[in-house]
Amino acid sequence: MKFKYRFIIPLYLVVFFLQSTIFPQFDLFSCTPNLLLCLTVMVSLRSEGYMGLVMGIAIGLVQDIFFGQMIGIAALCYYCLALLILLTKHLIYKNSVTSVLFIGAISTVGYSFLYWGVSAIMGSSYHLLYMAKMLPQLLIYNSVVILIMHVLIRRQEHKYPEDRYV
Amino acid sequence: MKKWLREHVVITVLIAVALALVILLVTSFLHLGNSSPIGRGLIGVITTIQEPVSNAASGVSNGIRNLLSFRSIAKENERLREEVAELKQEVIVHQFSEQELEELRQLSQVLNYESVKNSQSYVTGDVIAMDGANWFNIFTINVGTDQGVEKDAMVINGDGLVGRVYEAGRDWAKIISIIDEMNSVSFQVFRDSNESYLGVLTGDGIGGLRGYMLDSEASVIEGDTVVTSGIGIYPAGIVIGKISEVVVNTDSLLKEIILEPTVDFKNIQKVMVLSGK
Repeated sequence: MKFKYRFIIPLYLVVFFLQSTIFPQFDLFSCTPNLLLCLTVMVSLRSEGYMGLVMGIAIGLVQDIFFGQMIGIAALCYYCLALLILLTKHLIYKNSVTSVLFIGAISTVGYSFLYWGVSAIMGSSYHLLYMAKMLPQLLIYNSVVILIMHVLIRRQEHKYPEDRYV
Repeated sequence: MKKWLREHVVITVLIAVALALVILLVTSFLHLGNSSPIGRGLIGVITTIQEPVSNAASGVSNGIRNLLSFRSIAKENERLREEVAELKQEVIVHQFSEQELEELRQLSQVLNYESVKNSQSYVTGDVIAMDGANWFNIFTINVGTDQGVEKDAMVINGDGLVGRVYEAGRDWAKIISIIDEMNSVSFQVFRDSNESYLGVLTGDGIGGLRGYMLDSEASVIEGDTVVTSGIGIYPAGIVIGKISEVVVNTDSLLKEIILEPTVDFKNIQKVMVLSGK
């Protein structure tokens, strides 16, 4: 599917605002889904070219500037994630819900470990278990968000029949 | 080499981007807490949008929570009434020492001594954005240098010590919580009116606090309240948490303590920033 930057950039900004302002107010058991990660996964998987990489780096930098002690950790993690999806997406049947959820789960686990690893190298004292104990919850939340995004994208695709069997 | 680069443009660009990000990360690590002017400008613009959105979301969230927890609020009201009655009794007791305090104040004026209380002003702020990564506790508030907030100023709320100002812009400030703190914080434990014990604590890496007593013979027990000692950037007397476990480390011969912070870091809405003016 072809995404346009003039649509994706505002979408990323809206998601960033949702994640930083509204979602923390309605957290479930002190955990919220990582919407930016879900969006980066879906854009990397469904878009043509390097849009997932570019947007991942850009929103990662914004996230780091806002909430990071150092700039570059989230950007680097999104970059690695988007690159991995870019290199492997030809092996995946993108219209299958199971495949998309599998990629979402792998991405959530990969991002969490990578973020923790880079943070630990840069001196963060957070224990691996602290990150790991939130992982099951995060996996469920992110899977739900990815599923919703997948359904929305599929519906959008059906509006354009010429794209349907590409 | 040049030929290879020309033939593999995509790989070259991807490696260059990765390297650029790593260099940015290392540079940022070497200049902790100092965003570039572009970064500060970006935060300034985004916080102006985040503030009304966050306030609206907070209002809705509080409304829903109040509706859902009507019974517990009624119980809490009952408990608070009892607590008020007890506190009124305490006020009467403290009034006796008020006279003594007044005498000390007069003495301090004579000696031209500036107390900690008088040397500080405070600014209250609302949390307008929180980290979405779930495990860090860094958040943005809607007051900044224009309101007198300075870097490293102490941040508290009604429950106790929250953390410090990591970075401040004109009308925003980034707060780092004490459990995310990489630096050590000095604390003291009051066992009785005559004795207090000093110690040092840091974040334990699993969302709590861990520290050790400077005096290995310190008689601290589970449930003791821990407050800041005044050594370092945090002024004295701010509640940090309660001791949940005391362990004697046989290797280092130090008495180690595990603390439960009094502040619920996942549910902070209002904070107070103390500045040393």
